[in-house]
Amino acid sequence: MESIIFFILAFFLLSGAIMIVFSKESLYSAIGFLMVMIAMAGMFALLHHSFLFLAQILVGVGAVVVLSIMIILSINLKEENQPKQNITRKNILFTTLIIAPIAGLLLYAIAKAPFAFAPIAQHFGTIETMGKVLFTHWVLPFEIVSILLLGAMVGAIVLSRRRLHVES
Amino acid sequence: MIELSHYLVVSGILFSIGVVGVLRRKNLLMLFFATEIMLNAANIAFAAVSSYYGDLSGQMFAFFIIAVAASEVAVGLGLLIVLYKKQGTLDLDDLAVMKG
Amino acid sequence: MIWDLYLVMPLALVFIGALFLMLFSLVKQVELTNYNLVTVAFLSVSLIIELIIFQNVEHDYLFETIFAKMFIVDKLSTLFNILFLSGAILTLLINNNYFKSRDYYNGEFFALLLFSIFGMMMLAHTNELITAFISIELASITLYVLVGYNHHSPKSSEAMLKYIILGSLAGVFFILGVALVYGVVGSTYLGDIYSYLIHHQNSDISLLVVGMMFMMVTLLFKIGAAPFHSWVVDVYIGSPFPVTMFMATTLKIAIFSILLRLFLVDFAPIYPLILEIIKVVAIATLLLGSLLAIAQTQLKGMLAASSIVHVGYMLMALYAIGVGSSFAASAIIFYLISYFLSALGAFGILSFLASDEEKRHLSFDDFKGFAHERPYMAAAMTIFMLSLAGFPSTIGFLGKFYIFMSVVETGEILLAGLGILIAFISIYYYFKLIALMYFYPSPNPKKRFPFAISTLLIVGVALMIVWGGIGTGLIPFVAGADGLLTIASEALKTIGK
Repeated sequence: MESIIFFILAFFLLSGAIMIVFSKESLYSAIGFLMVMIAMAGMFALLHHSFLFLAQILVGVGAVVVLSIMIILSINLKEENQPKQNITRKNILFTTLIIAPIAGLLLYAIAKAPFAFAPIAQHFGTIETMGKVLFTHWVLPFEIVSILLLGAMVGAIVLSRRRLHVES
Repeated sequence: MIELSHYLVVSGILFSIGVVGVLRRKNLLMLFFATEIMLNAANIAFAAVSSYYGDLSGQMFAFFIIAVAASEVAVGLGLLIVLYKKQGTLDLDDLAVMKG
Repeated sequence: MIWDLYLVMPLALVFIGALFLMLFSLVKQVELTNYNLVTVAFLSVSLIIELIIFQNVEHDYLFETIFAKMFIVDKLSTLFNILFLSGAILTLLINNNYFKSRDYYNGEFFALLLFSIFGMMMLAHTNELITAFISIELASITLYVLVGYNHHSPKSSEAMLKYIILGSLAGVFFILGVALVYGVVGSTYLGDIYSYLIHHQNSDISLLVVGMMFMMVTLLFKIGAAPFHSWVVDVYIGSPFPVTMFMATTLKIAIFSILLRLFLVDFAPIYPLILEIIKVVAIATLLLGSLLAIAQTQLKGMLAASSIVHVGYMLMALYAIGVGSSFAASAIIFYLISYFLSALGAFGILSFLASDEEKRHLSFDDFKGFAHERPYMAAAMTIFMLSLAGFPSTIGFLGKFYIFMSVVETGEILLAGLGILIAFISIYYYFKLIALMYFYPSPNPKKRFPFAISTLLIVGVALMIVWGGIGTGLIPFVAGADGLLTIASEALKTIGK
């Protein structure tokens, strides 16, 4: 049962990723992005990481994907403004040449790791345990992430407010 | 039975697809999506390793990466709006005037 | 506990300053100079505290009960923090006129700058890979925005576009590398990788090595080393002068702080596997950087390309560390300081000129007869160029000298010879500017030396460069070049294994 779910999720994950990379219309790739994010959340659930599952749905799907779809719709990307994607043989060859060593290296390294999972402890990955670990052991990165979000927020506001300033 | 290596292989394939997406580099929006896919690939690896060791640190990393990715996308999309309003295109070849 | 609070003060001050400026920028009727002065005030207090800390600190985990062992305070991190802070202070003060001459600067600029410095300082303090990644991202994401700050110029937006795309791609490699390292070691503390490698000498470590390679790729990208150097020139040219100055001086040093920590401790057991790669990267960086620098027509582009060459020298010393040189690591820190001073001065003069005259793009031709127009500034510029080229009696010469000595010490005569050859080639593009300044008549009449904070600081930096080169024996009790080298080696001693 577990393996069937895993393969279904992996199928959605990879087909969503391929959809992002190869579709011509921006909105379709956004839908592919949505598929990837939801399948990711499914993977987390399969691994019994309920906290990550929630975070992925809330942040990944709720914020990132919705934001990008909103932007695609709001700037009204027309078909004729879309870049022409021309898949030539030279392109494919070039890409393959670059990807092959990276993928080969990764798979070679991974193939040497035939481990089965440890039996899952009780409360593993629940919000309660995660919160305890987050605020005892990982306080420092947590604080820096909050500063990072603040800085990125200021940056994004500065970038997009400038547009109003120019127009007025 | 699903093992750690299954997850790692999925993560590796996803990462490679992301690299392909970045290398095709025509549409700015797709480029941000592709980078996002690669971050998610790393996230799968972290989550799976976390389960393998029964250690919560991996989940923490995945959590932090979700936040970092969100902030990167926020700044990137801000830039995208500015560029699109000014130039009317998302084609990287048109946007990149400087050589290099 | 009180002592820990004292140690965390500099970081806290920078963060509080960022918050304060963020809120302060909402107030409308505030002059730009006041924002600048407030920022400098926060940074200066932080700098003074860091200087006191440097005298007293040895090796300390800050708030060990709360932060575990993630926050490390030692002489190395404090030294790097001093560099970041003084670099930022000098950048802000020298560019005060530039900020006023452009209409797109506002309070948020300074807030973002402080966020970026906070990220760099955190990077110097971190003892754990995920914290390092988040700090790098904090420093870079705010820098992306600063690079694209000039909304009048499409060049600026384009530079930001390139930087954000390539930068986030490089960041992904780091995170994948950390994932693989965590998969093998089961921990992401810096020292743990070392102890894992020591205890598992006979087992298969290919996954770990691949992960560490991915991490190296990101760090090499961020310092602008050879296969990943193409972004440097475009981004430096496209961004506003103050931001270029800030990036060229501080960001590079910040990345070196984590690179040194990783390389000296955690990479030590696998030196045989990676040294050849480092060597090839160093040679490629030197050659390609020189070619790029010769081809540039703009002065800013030439300085950007030459910064790639300087990274090549430091990678050479990194190689020497691996082969077993005893003082290559202190040579790198000394070189960082000397490059920091010279680049700060050179970019400072450029932005001073750019704020003075609107139309100038500052190509080489604009400097024809510069010495007759502004003799003192031209003299300062000459000193910076000489120092960058590594001319004797400047601090840049000593920097190069120590690096070549450390390479020769390991017996790699050929590599040292190549470095010296590249140094001679670099004389071509640096002396081109000096020749243009002195050997052409000036179209404009002679101008008086403008007494302002910015010009006085530029002259001060120039004097420091000469003093660092020759003044060691002249003034007792004050650290000259030898003193700096002692400080560097002292700082390195505190890295614990």
